[in-house]
Amino acid sequence: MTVPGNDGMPQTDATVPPEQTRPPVALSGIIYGECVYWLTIVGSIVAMVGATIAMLGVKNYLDPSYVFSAIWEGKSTTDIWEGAVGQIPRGHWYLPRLGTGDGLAMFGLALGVFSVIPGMIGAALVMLKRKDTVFGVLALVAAVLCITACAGLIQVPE
Amino acid sequence: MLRFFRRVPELTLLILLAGSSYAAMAIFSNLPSTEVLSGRFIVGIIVASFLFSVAIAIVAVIAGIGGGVLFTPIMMGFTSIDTLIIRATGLVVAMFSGLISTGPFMRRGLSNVRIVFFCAVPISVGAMAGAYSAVVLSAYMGQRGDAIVRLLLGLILVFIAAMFIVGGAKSEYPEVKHVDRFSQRVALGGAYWEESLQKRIDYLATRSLLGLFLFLAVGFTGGFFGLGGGWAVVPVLNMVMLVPLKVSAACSGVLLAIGNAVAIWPYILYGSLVALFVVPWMLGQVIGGIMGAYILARIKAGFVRKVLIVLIILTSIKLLTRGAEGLFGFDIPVV
Repeated sequence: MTVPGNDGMPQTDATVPPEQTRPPVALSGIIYGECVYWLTIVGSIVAMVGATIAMLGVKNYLDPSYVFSAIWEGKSTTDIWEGAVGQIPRGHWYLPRLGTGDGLAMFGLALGVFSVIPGMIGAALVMLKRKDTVFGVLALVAAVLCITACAGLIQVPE
Repeated sequence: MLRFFRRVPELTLLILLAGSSYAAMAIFSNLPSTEVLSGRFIVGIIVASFLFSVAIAIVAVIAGIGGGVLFTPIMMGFTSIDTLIIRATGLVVAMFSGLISTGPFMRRGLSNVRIVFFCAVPISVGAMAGAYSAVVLSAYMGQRGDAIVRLLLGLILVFIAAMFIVGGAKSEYPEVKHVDRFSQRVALGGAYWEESLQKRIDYLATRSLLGLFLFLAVGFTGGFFGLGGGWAVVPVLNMVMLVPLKVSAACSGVLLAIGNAVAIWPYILYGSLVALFVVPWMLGQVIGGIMGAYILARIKAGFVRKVLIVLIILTSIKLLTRGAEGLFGFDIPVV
């Protein structure tokens, strides 16, 4: 089997050094990966707690029986929200409702989605500090796109 | 197996918490029944969604595709749930397995952070353009236009599957005979430790500029169809830019998370995501995604290629039949 060497050109097995060591991992990658990984886990636990609270009927914004029945019947999100609370929510509706099960569940979900933003910013800062300017800027551009979407500046196509 | 759970305590914690949560729901939940569903059936739906999601996530992470490719056709084919709810939940399914596998992939060097950020911007921009184009095309050509595009997409997927089959094992560790000047400048290369061979694999991507434009197209088709782009990201990285297959699959998972992070916020902010319905799918993706990430690091690249071929073929069959149904006005049962 031939494998590409560091110069991008193929090398035969005979030229591959016999002592192959595990290559070092980029710090920017570790920062991005760990940030996303742990925030997603925290978000999942929060969402799980929220869903449990909702299903045990402790305190909810929406009635779980109505919501699941309406979804199963094929009702649209407009009909579901209007039937449940009389209006469709806009913006980060869950933030003032963290005391409810479904509000907390949505917060956990949103936390997972949000995790890429601090991850990309952290990775970008490391890349820029190490003079990997092009990729640092690309990471910041991707972060700005996500922040724009999070701020509600991108509308959903209907 | 026990050693694995000891090495990944956060996975063990998540499984225990999920198990406790669903047990508590099953025992203590007192949901009133409606005309449509009983309280017990609702709990059953939640647990079944979670288990199904775990299975989808393991397969999706290994193949480097978003779970949406499996989730969306199955849900649209076998349930009468509103398509916007399916599409929005599909984005969560596509995203969270990629999110959670980011940590293990980056730690092991299986995912290349430079390749990820090089591809993330065109994919995200393309996805936004694709989503808006879907609205415009639907307004002008309606169902007919949608059917034509699905047919074309299905044909492209058949071609890609054929390339993977014909390409054989060469695609697992592609030979790079020439690196163009642009690719040398951006230097999208690296190295990772191949566990199945117990050796270091070095690589350097080529045809990076072509890859950049293809990722715009991948993002566009992903945004247009709401399918995510993993099924296309892996072929572009592996067959065009000649990145090793496992690295391509790992980068694809990480990229999906970034691309879908842009697309998913509008659905959250406009109430298209129903939290109670989505959470079991999200949890399944997280748990299955961690498992899939560790499996990918250890299995042979050839197995990854076979899983990918099967999934691409299944997806292409679905697209071709939906395109034919929409264009010629007949219904193909089962498929």
